[in-house]
Amino acid sequence: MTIEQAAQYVAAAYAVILIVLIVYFAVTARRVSGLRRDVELLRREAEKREARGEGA
Amino acid sequence: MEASEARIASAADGAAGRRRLLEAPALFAYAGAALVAGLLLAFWYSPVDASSMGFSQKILYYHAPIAWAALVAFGVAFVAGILYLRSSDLRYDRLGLVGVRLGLLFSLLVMGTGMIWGQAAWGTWWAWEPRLTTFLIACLLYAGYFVLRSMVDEEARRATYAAVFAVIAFVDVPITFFATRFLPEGLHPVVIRPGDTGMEGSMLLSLLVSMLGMTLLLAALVRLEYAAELLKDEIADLKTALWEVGQ
Repeated sequence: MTIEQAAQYVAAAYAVILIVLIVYFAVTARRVSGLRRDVELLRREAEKREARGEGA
Repeated sequence: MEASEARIASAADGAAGRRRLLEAPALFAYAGAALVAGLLLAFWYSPVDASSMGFSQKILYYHAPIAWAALVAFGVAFVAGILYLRSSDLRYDRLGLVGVRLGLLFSLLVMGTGMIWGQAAWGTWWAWEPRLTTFLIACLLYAGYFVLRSMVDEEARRATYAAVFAVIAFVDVPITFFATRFLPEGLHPVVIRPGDTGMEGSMLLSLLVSMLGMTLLLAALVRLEYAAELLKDEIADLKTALWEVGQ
C-alpha cells in the first residue's frame, strides 16, 4: 500500500473520531443547558407557589 | 478574629478555585490541549512505522487511547455498581449509567477505527480474532445493559439489576485487554510487554500524551453526563413537589 492510500484510511479514522466526539459533546452540552433552564424555571415556580401559600 | 475569618474565607476561595480546575469546562480544555498535542506529536514528531503497517500505524495514536478510555468507563460502571449495591444511593446508579453509556460510545469508536485500520493494514474490515471478538462481545453485553434498564419500571429494582449487570459484565474487560496475550495467534500484535514498550521513544510519547488527553476527555464527559442525570432527577423531584402543592 502506498503512503497516499494509507493516508486516506488514516484521515478517515481520525475524521470518524473527531466528528463523533464533537457531535456527542455538542448534543450533551445542549441537553445539559436545556435541563439547567428547566430546573431554574421549576424552582422559580415552586418559590412562587410557596410564597403564595404563605401569603394565604 | 477578623484575621481568622479572612483566613477561612481565603481557604474557602482556594478550595473553590481547585474545584473549578476539575469542573467539566476546565477538563474539556485540558483534554483538548492534550489531544491536539498528541496529534501533532503523532504526525510531526513520531516516525512512520518501519513494519508492514507503514503510515496506517498512525491510527494507533487515537485508536489505543479510545480503547483504554472505553475500558476505564466500564471500570467506572463496575465501581459505581459495587458502591450502589453497598449503599443503595441512586447517585451511584446514575454514575454507572453514565459509565456504560460512555464506555459503549468509545467502544463503538474503537470498532469503527479498528475496522478502518484493519482494512488498511490487513486488507480486511473484520476478522474473528481474539481481541476483536472479545471487544464485540463487550459491546453486545453492555448494549444489553440498556435493554435491561428499559425492561424494569421500578426505580430501586432497576438500579439493583443494572448494578449487578455492570459488575458481572466487567468480567469481559480484562479478557478483552489480555486477549492478545492469552491467544497471541490473532492478527492484533502485542506491542507493549512488561519491560519492553515495543516502540520508539517518540512514538511512546505521542501515545502517552494522547492517552492522557482521552482519559481527561472521558473524565469531562463523565462529569457532564452525570450532571445531566442529576438535573433530570431534580426536575422529576420538582415536578412531583409542584404537583403535590397543586393538589
